[in-house]
Amino acid sequence: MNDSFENKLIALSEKTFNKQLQNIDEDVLQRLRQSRQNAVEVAQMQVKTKSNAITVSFPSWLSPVSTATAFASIALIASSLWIQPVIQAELTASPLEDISMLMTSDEFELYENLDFYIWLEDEDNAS
Amino acid sequence: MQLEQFIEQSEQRAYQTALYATRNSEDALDIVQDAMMKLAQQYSDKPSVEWGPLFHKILQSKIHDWYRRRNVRQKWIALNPFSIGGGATDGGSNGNQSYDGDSNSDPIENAAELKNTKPDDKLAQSRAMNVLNDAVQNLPQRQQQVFLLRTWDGLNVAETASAMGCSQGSVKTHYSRAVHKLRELLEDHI
Repeated sequence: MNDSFENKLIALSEKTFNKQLQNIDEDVLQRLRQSRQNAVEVAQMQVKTKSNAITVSFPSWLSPVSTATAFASIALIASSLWIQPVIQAELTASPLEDISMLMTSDEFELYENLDFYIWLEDEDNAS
Repeated sequence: MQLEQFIEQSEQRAYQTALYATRNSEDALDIVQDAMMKLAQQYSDKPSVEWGPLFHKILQSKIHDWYRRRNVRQKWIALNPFSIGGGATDGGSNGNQSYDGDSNSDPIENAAELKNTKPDDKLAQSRAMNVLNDAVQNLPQRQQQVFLLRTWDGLNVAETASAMGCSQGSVKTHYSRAVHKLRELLEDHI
């Protein structure tokens, strides 16, 4: 490619295209201005929306780390309060279960005949 | 730099670029408006140095979309010659400002800034500008846009490739073909 031709072409192109800008209608320029205003308004609204969203999510006194810590603490306290009565209920229930077991007549017969079973075992061993 | 300031500096060039591609003022305005809006919605929080390349990219994408839609429409019209709107083609058929109108303007008026040249030179240069204008307008889409980005917007090969979403080799090929074609048409004028 001839460099001098290309250089002349580039220079002429630049001149031609810039010249075309001067031929743009006033109506078109007005509409471009309006479009620009609309775009700028959209950009400003986006900035406001983003900043509001950040404020709602994380107030100044509440960082994500402190929020997570608070939730973890609440969960721990809630679970301990929920588990404690269950354990206590189990502890308090066991003597009653023993009593009920002792109160069963079958169990007393077993204990009464226990001496007999021991004697029987000794006799078997001796023979 | 503020976004408004950036758009103000870019809007006329963007419109002219879109007008070269579409040859229709309404379509060019729509493309530029969409490009501005997309820049504002998605990239207004980016550093201002990034706006230029992003705006080029968005504009090229919108122009490419316009070409695709036009090609589909033309194929549809070719298949359905009696469809509604079949007679309407692009190029300022709706009474809009057509690009063709610019090339018919007085060449002497168009060369107003060439005050230091002789009258004959002014006339010759003005003719060359009109020939170039028509030639660029009639270049294939990719060649036209590469030529505009390289010569007018001053983008290098890599920047042009990024704006157009193609390879650097493709940019070089399109640019070379465009210059070759313009050389054929302008050899007697330059």
